[in-house]
Amino acid sequence: MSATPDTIIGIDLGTTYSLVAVPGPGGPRVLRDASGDARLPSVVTLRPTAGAGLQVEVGWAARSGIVQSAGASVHSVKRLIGRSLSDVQAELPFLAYPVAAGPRDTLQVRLAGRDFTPQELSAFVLRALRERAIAALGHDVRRAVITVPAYFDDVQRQATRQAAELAGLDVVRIINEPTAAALAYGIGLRAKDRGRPHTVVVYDLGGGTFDVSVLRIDGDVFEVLSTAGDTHLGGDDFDLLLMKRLAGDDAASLAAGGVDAAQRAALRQAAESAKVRLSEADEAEVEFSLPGAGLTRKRVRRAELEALCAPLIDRTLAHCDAALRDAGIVVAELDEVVLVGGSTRMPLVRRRVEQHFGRRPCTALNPDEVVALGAAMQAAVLSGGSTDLLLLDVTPLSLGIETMGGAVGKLILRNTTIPCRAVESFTTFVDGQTAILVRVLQGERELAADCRELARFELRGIPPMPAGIPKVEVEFLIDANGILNVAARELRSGQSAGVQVLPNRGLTDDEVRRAVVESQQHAAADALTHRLIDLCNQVDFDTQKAEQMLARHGDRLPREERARIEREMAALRTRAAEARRDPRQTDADALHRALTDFGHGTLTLAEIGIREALAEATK
Amino acid sequence: MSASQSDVPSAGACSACGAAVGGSLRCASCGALLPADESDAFSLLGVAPVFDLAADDLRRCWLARVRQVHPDRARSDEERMRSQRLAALLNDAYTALQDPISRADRLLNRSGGPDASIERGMDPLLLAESLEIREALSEAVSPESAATIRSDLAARLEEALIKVAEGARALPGDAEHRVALRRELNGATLLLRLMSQTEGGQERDVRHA
Repeated sequence: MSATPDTIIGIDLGTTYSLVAVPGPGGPRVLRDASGDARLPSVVTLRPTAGAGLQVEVGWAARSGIVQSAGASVHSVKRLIGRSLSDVQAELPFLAYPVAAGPRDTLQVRLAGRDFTPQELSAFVLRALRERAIAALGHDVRRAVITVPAYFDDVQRQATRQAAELAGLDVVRIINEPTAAALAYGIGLRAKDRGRPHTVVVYDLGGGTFDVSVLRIDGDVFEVLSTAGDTHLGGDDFDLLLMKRLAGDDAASLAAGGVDAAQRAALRQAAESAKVRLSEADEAEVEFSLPGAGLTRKRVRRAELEALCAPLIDRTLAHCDAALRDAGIVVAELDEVVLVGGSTRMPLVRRRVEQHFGRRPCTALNPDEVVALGAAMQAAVLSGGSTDLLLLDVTPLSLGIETMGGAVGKLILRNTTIPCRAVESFTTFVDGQTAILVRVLQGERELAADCRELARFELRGIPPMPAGIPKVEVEFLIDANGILNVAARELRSGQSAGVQVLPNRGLTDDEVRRAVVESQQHAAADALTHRLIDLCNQVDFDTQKAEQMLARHGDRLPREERARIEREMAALRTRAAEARRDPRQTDADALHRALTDFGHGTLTLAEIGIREALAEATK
Repeated sequence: MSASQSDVPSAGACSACGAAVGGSLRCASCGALLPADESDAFSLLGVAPVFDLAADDLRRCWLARVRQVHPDRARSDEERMRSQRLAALLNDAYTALQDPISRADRLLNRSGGPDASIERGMDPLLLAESLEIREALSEAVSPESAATIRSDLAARLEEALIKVAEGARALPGDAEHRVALRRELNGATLLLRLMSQTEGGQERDVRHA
C-alpha cells in the first residue's frame, strides 16, 4: 500500500454525480462507497440545527430525501456556478430551490435561512469526496486535479477553483472533462497501436453540459485540436422536457412558478427515473401529483422521449461538426469516437452518434467513471509519478477586449493551444488621466454586448501625463488551466510594476476567504461525523472483500495467518459498529490506523487474489 | 501548406532534439529554465531560420520544447509562472511558423527588413483590383457568383504565395529585395482577408503580435 502523504487526487465534479479517483502503482482507481458505487450524487441537503449550526447531508441520502426536504435540498449546482441570474432565468421555475441575485452579477441560493453561493454548495460535495479519499488513503489530502466542461468559460473555472478552496483543496490543475476521458481511453489506444497518431472525437454528454473535443493522440502526447460545446445542455434538459410533457396542461403553471417545491422535486424525480428506465425498456410508468389533480399515473413510451430529445441531440451534432471544422478534420479521418457522460447511455444518443460519424462509438469504459480516472492520471503526472505524458489543451472561446463603439477586438482566437498570450497597448484620452478601464470579453460574437464579460479591469496608478502619451502594455495570459491572468506595465515612465489590475466581477478573494472561515465553522462538527461514516463504509467494503478472498483463496495461506486475518476482521467490524453507535466518542484517527493496518495485514491475500484474477483473464 | 516541401535544408538539425539549434530551454544537469530570445520564433523552437521547414520536423521541435518547459513540470510557483509564459511563447511561435505568410514575415523581420507598420505599400494593380473584388462580393447574390469570386481569389493567393516563398528563400538579399518582399506580403495578407470575407463574414482577426 503506497501511503505517500502528498497524494494528489482526481475529482470529477459533475452536475448529477461526482467522483473521486486516486493514482496508484497499477494505474488510477475510482474510490467507491460501501455498496461499490463510485458515484456520489451532487445533491446537498442543509437543515439548521440548534445553535447556529447546520446539518449537512450529501450524496445518496440527500438525493433520496429530495422530495421530503424540498426547499432544503439543492441539485445541479454546476449549472449555476460562475453564472449570473440572467444566465439561468429560463430554468429557475423548474428548480426545487429558490435562487436570487448576489453581489456583482453572481447568484445565491437561499437554504436553511441563509444565502449560499454556488461555490459554497459545491464545496459540500467536494468536501465529501475529499473525506472519501482521506478514508481510503489513510492520510490527509490537500491537493486535487479537478475537471470542468471544456466549454466552461473563465468565470466558471475560477468559481470551481474557489469551491475547491472552500473544501480545503488546493487545485493544482484544472483539466477539461473530454480531455480527461481521452487520457483514460488513450492508454488503451496506445497499447493497441503504438507509433501511429490517432485522431479521436470525445462526445461528452453529461447531466448538465455537452462538450465535444477532437484530439490527436500521438504516443505520449495528447493534443486537443479543437473543442466545442454548450454548458447548458445535458440530461437535466431531457428531464425538463419530460417534466413539461408529464405536467401536460399544468406545464404553464409549472413554468410560472405555480407549483410548490415538493411537487416540482417529485415531478423532476419521476421524469428522471422514467428517462433512465426508458434506456432499457420501451415503456415506463410514472406517478406524480400536481395541485388540484391528485395522484396522476402516466405511461411514457421511448419513442415519445426520443421525439422530445431529438432537437437537443441535433444541437450536439452541430457542435461536433463545428469542432471538426475548426480542427480541419473530416469524418473519414477519424480513428475513434468515444462516448462519455451518463446521458450517452440513451439509445437515441448512441444511434444518432453512430449515424453521424458512420462508425460504432467506443463505450469500453464506464461513461460515469472515465473522467475521474483521467483526472487521477493527470494527478499522477503532477506528483511526478509518470512524467512521459504531455497534455496540450486549447482555450474553448475567443478572448477579446471592447474597442470603440462596443465592438470586440479579438486577441486570442478560440482553439488556440494553451498556455497562450497576447499583448495589447492602451493609452489615455484625457490629460493627467491615471486609470484606464478595460473590458475583457470571451465569446465568438462581434459585439461586446453579445459576448460574456469576463472582467472589467481597472488599470490604476498610471503616472499623470498628457493624453495619449502613456503607453500601458497589458499582457493577457491564459494558463494551462484555461484561466486568464492579466499583468500590466507602463512603458513610458519605466514604472514597470506600477500599474495595478483590479478585477470587478464574480467573488473577490476576500469574499471567498470570508466564506472559507464561515463554512469551516459550520463544517467542523459535520466533518467529523462525515469522516467516520466514510471510514465505517470503507471498513465494510474492505472486510467484505477480504472475506470473499479468504473463502476463495484462504487454503493457500498458512493456517495461523488465516486465523489472524479472521480475528482482525472481526475486531475491525466491532470497532466500526461501535463508531456507528456513538460517533462522538470515537477516535477517528485510531479507526483509520486500524483500517490501514488491516490493509497491510491482508496484503499477501490480496496479492494471491490479483495473481489468480490475472491468470484467469489471460487464460 | 508549403512547409511540406521536400527540399528541407537544416530543420533536421533539431531532430536529435536534445541538441537543438540554439540549445535547450532547460539546463540538462540542474533542470533550471534558461533565458530565451523571446522575440525570435526560430531560435525559441530551435529550428533553422529558413523558409522551407517540414511540417513534421517543426512539430517535433515544438513538442520537444513544450515538454521541456511545460508548467506541469514546474517545481515552484515562480518557475510555474515563467514556464507558463515560455510555453505560451512557444505555442505562439509554432502557430506563426506553420503559416507560410507569417513564417516569411518573421524571416523578413529577422533579416532587418521593413516592418508591416513601416512599409505599407503593395502592387498598385492588386490594390485597385481588390476594390473591384470587394464590390463584386457585396453584390454577389447567387452562390455561384460568390464561388467564382472565391476560386479567382484562391488562384491569386496561390500565385502570391509562390512569390512570397521565392522572396523569402532569397533572404537576406539587399534592401530593395526586402522592401519588395514586404510589399508581396502585404498583398498576400490582403488577399487572405478578402478570402475570409467570402466565408460568410467569419473574418479571422489578424493576430496581435
